[in-house]
Amino acid sequence: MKYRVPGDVAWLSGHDLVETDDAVYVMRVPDGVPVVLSGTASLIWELAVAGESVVDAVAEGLAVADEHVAGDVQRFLTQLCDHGLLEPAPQEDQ
Amino acid sequence: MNDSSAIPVGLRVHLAHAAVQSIADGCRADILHVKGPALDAALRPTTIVDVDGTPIEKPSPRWSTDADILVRPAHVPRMMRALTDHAWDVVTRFETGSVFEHAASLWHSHLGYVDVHRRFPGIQLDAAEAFELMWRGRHEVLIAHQSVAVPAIDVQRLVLLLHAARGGGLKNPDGRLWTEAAEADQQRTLALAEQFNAEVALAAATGRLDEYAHDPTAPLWRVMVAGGTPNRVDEWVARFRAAPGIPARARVLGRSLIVNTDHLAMRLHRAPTRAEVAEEYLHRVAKLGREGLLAWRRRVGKWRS
Repeated sequence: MKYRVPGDVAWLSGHDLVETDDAVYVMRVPDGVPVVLSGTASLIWELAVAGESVVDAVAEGLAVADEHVAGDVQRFLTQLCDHGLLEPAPQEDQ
Repeated sequence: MNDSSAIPVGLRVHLAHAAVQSIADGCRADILHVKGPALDAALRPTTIVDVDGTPIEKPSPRWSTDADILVRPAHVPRMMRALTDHAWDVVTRFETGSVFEHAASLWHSHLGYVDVHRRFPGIQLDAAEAFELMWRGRHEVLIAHQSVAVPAIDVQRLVLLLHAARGGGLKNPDGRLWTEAAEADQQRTLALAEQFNAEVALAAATGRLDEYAHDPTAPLWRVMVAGGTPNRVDEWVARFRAAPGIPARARVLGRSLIVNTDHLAMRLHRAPTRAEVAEEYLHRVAKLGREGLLAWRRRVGKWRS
């Protein structure tokens, strides 16, 4: 499944401003609570917003089989969707 | 996911700009984003970064501690209402924010400060006309992946220089926007200052204030451009002279002794009591008296020498 960022979500990558900052800062505007995604969470975010198939890409990045990461990655993506920070991309985009 | 307290201030400001734009959209207020992350890359200082062994010149990020916006004057009341409805608390009001009464400052527990400008000090063109002029030349940029409107690049340069006029002029880091500007850029900035009736403030920013020595606002800009903590009496005398007309001058006189309760509240970290306001008033009168004496002695000294 692929994902996209809803129109009311503001976000920026820390490394756009500070080379050593690998976190991603995300919030629903105007009233959401900003959250910090760091480590693997920020990697998952970057892959999701790039339109990648996240589970495949994370598995490939970690050089493990899809089934080893699918559960955790999918749970995290669902959590992001539940918070309104991501949404599934329409089928035609997939 | 971690909470927002871990967000560095310089990055949080980007989210603040995006949130404030969303609020402006919601209440149909026209706003322009200025300074900080809204500043055009061409106006930022550049740094040399190493990309795979190749040195590349890159615009430095513009760090800012608060988000600055300019609101169409007619939309200011609705924008202020909307901001407070969205958990932004007023810290200083327009009347108490600065000697120019140009901006209000609001605080959000997750997003920090936003400065809401209703005009820019130094621009003497009517605030509504000045906004319209800037609005017509606006373009959209992305801050935190949200679309926001910013003024044309020449207006951005002018705004930063006018800001520098209140803090050091050419000694201000933004003074480089004049000293390092190409002749054509300087000429366009001068023409723009004329359009906005901002020639005196621009002259203060660019070390040419003597050209406007006879302008009634020149003494005020002389105090402002010096930066630091000015003698209060010198500042109030300059403000009095710069105020156009009797009602404006009466207002300056009236305000010179009024206690700034917003600043007092910031100092105390709570609302001041009546007794504390009265005490501050007496302190202010005594301080003005002492500084007045110093200013008088300085003037007498000048005449004698």
